Amino acid sequence: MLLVFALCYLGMSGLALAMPRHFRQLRQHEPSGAQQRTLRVLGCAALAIGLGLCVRLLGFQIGLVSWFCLLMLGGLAVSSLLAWRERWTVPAGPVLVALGLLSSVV
Amino acid sequence: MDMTLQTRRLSVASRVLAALVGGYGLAYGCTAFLSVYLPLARPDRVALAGLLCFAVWVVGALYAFGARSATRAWLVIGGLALLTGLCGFLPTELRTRP
Amino acid sequence: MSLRQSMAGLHTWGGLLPSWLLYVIIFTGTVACFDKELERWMRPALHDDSSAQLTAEGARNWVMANADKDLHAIWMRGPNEREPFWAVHWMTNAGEQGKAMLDPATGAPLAETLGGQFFFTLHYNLHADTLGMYVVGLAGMFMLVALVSGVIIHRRIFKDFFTLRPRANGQRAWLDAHNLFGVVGFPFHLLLAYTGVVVFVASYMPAGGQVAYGNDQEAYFTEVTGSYHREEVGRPAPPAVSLDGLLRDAQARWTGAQPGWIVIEHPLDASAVVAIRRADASRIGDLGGTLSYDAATGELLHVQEQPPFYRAYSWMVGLHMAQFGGTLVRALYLMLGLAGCAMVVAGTRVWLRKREARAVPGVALVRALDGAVYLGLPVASLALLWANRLLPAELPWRASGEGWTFVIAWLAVALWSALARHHWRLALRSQLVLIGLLALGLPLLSLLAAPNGHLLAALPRGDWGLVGVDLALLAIGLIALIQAWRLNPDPVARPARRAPGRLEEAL
Repeated sequence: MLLVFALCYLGMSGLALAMPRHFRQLRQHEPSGAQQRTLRVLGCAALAIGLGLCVRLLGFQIGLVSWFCLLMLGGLAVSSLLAWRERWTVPAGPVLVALGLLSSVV
Repeated sequence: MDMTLQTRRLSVASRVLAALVGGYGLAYGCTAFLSVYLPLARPDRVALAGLLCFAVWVVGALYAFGARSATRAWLVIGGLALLTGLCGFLPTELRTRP
Repeated sequence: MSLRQSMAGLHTWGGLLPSWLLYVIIFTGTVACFDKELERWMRPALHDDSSAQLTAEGARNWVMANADKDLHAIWMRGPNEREPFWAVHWMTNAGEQGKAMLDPATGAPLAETLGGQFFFTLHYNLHADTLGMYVVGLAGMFMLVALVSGVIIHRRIFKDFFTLRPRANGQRAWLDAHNLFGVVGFPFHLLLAYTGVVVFVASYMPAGGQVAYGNDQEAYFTEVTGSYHREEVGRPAPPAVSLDGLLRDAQARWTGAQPGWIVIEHPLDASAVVAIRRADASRIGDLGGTLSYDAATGELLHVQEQPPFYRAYSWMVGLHMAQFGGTLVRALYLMLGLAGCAMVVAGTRVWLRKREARAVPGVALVRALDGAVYLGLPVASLALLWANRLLPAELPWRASGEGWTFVIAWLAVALWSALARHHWRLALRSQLVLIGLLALGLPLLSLLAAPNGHLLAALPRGDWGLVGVDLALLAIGLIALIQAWRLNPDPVARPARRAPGRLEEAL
């Protein structure tokens, strides 16, 4: 389940960074159109994979409800990091995914 | 100046009542209406009408404040509530069909 | 006035007025995600795993022997993983109600306590029975209207989706927080508010029953829920068959699902019926399948078949009650519930910050109410847990003692907030320290008062329900103390503002 949260976080951070306002927070320049599109597509892909995984783990109904909850919490986590620890926003994604993979293996 | 303030206060009070009392009346009327006319079996008509009625109240409450004037809000909400309620309660045969 | 302006007025005032009540409802609902864990935490007799001895038969006999003689119905629930005790409720023909929790090992009633149930009841009726239930329903409608009008007046829902500027000026920062918790958590708040008011639709909206069933409550409930009802015949009941046998039969018919509540209708009449409900945590709603047996012969009379739209109702209620998906779903609901509390708190802060500079009447009142409710309720809840640990279990008035502790602690904080409204930063800071000490003290107090339930005893056993409550208390205490420490009591002496964050620069 941590992996699903990691994917939700990753997806939400992708969507956040696709917005010029948050992209400028981390890089000093405007995002190019291609960068925005890439971030958006990657973000949506991470969310979709998370949804698929969650439904596989918990069944359709409970998986869907849990994924929605994780999605909202992922969004809150991204916003909090952008507000208080902006430099951690991007590295937190891979770290969470690694922890999630580790916990699903163990 | 005093007059306009007083009229505004009256208008706001009237809208509040329209949202609370009128909105509930509208939800009540719509529940009765749907419990009779939905093309479903009786328990399903009643259950579905019950699930929808709070959405009706929310829309009614929003309209009470969104309407151009308090009078208009009352006319629309109260009128619809009366209409749906009467249509729901009058046809006794249809009401209790299984 | 434009639509947006009129909706803004509606959102401001329709949101402010019920916000303290909504906070109480959301906060207690959030706590009630783990009401059963708290219930066990508050009953040290249930802290060690003891094997269940008391059978369904034994529980029924206990009610028959101890309740009034004119029993109308009995409700009983057997021990399960989260609630390892028998819960029995009964009602007499005169409408008097009683209840008891029976120790599964000894069959005797457990020591009095309000238990985790206290928070659940506060959540749905404020401990004010029918009137409270209507007040909570109305508050739910206010919340729905505030949520929808909030979306209408929000100018940049998607542009500001992730925006939080804690270092901006007060009103901006609180508005960001209000928007963030409201918008990101919107699906949760909307669904929980809607499914919350739907739970009691039969009481809130009687029109359907009145019009389609001619106000015949019995016929209405029986047909809409697809359940079974048998009228009394006025003859005394013959000896009943074994309840435990019926439970075994029910489990065999359901292939695997566990029995939930068992209802015995008019047990002293020859028409007595035993209805066994199904408990199935692998589904969101209770989808029916209740089995009704003749209490005397054990004959299966009826299998509940819910009509399709009553199933939809059960599904929505199930979505609200979060009894599916295990600890994970409850933990997610807990966190999103806290986001709901944050939304309400931030909302009143926006109102305050906007009006603080001008001497608008009501600012002092709103500020005092904020302190009284937003901090008073957590303090009172912690005080209740302290009373539970401090009052000896054998005290006959332990439950009411806990209740009075809750009330007095809340009144004390309310009075404090009202008196200190001009030095509110200092009051806020001391109240946070109080919350921190109360929360951190509870796991320590348990070392003395709950010999089998404290962290050091429960952790090696892998008893995660009890461990979870204590760890949560420690976390709450630490967070409260850190916040108190970081809160500057004197805004004038504030050190030079930190350099603006990059988000402000980026704007």
